[in-house]
Amino acid sequence: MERAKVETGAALVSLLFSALGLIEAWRYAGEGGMMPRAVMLLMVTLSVIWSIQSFVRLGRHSQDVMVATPRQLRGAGFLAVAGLVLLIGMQYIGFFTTAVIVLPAVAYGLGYRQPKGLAIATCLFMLLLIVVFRVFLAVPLPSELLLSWFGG
Amino acid sequence: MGEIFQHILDALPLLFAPATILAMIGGTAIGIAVGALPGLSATMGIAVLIPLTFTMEPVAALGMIAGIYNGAMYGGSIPAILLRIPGTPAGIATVFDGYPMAQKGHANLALRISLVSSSIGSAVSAVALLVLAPPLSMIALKFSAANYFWLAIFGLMTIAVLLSDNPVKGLLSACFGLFVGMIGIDMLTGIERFAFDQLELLSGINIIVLLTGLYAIPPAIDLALSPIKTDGDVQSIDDDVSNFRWSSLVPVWVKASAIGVVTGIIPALGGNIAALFAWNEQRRGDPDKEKYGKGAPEGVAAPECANNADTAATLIPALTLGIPGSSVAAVILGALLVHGLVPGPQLFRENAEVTYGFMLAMLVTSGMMLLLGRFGARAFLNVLKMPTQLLAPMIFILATVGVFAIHNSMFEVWLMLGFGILGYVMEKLDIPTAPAVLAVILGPIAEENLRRALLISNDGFWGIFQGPISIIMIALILATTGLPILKRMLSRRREKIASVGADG
Repeated sequence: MERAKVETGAALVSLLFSALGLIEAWRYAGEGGMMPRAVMLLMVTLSVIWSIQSFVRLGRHSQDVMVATPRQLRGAGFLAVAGLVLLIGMQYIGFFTTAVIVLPAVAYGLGYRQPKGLAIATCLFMLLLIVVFRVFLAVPLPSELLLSWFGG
Repeated sequence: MGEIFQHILDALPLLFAPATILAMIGGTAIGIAVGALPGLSATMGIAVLIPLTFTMEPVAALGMIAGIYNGAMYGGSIPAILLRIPGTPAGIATVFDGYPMAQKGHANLALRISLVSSSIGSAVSAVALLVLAPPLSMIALKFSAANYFWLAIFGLMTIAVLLSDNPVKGLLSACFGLFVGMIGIDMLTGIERFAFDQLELLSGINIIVLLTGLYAIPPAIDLALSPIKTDGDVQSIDDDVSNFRWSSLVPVWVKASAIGVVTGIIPALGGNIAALFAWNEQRRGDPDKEKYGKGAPEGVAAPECANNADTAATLIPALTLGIPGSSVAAVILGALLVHGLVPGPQLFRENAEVTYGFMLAMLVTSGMMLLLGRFGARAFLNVLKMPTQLLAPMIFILATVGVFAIHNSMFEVWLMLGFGILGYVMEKLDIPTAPAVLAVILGPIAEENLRRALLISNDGFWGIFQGPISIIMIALILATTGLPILKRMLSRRREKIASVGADG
């Protein structure tokens, strides 16, 4: 896609965000509202300038494009799903249990196809995480499905 | 001067405590490994690993961070020399002569020159920090609230304007950071700002959440979507280095160290600029210019010494004034805040032992880097074989658990992910993320001092424009922001005239 089109869209999103922020900032009374109003007003102004700059460039620099290969698009979708699985899984089946599934799955999905390497890397990384965050830092992570099988 | 020596002596027992030494060795080794991995930077390494330091004593924690910072700067040269891929942006100039040296069969010598030069650069920079920071903090104590306000604005404007080809984007990034910095309850008036009645937002956004999101997630996404092939032909490192005349590099180290220290103090420049500048200066000053780019040892020594001489020097304005001049300095300020240390001139009085301990750790880790790099060279070469497809999920998992460890909050983990995606989009749109991070730190400083200045001013708003320091700051702001814009306008005009001339 033409870069100027993407930038125009992003500039308009920025304009909308800053305009809403300015409306919100206007509600703040007294000197506590001085800085929010000034910053959001500046942000609106800058967003307008950016929108105009990008709009003017539309069609002029058509060779300046942002390209994503089908592999990258697939990878992006895969990463988004993996990220959601990690965060949601962390809450329900525990962090280490989710991580032990997500790490090899993501690496495999991204093209790393050596089972031995995957197994060794997953084991070592999990060991490191458990030693650092459970033993050393004692972070109270959500309860673990995996460790409960071993009485942990 | 006597007071400084006393503080150094007081800090030594903390610095040489077994836990601190272990933390420094670990940090330096991790730093070299992070630097050696293309796509990862010192900023990312520190941002992801700050949570590991939560339970450490402040000096041990900061010693580890000093090790990561110094180590990563050297580590970047390993793939630059062996694979022609700079591990960090600061390693770009090392490729010019490092890779040709390796191709000629002198890979071991190139790595050794890089290691020694990096250690010398780091040591000089640490000494500059120890010598310059305490007197500068004394001067900073004399700054009024209005002076501080302008100083914060100067730091912010410089970074915002100089870091982007389009100043509008840099300033927008800074505004976003100011917005993030205002979220929560205003301490002076008690009003809620941009919290939208969310309990989790009332105490504001933790700087580590923002730092991890902006600096750990985008490189992880990049590594996942565009894997860097590092499993190519790694040059062998079996060449003999005993015949090399090291004394020939002394003038190079002197010049490059000076360049690195000066570049480090100036906001918005950083290690990559220092390295490129030093390489160029070395080539310019040498009668035999032809040898550069073809495997000249001086062409490796100059950039490596300069990019490491930039490290501690970058922290001079950050520690003394609380004004970070680069993203890595902002991340280190974040680490200081995590350990209850508020950067600024008071740091040298209220937490002198820890502050001097940190500055000394920058010096000690430069020596550790030399030892680890010398005896662990082959181990660090194995890091190059790490598949990026594995590295990407590891970074993501580490960032997730690290952010969760701050307050055991899933909300902050989601927020980090949001910042990460935003950071990735910003990078793709050529919007620098450093102004946003700096603004989160500088925004509250600017606001607090502006309010204080207005409160004590007899001339209302005009009060903040008075006094020689404020006037100098305002002049510097106008110069640093106005000149690049003017330069760009003039060059565009010249291009237009040239194109009209060509058409005619």
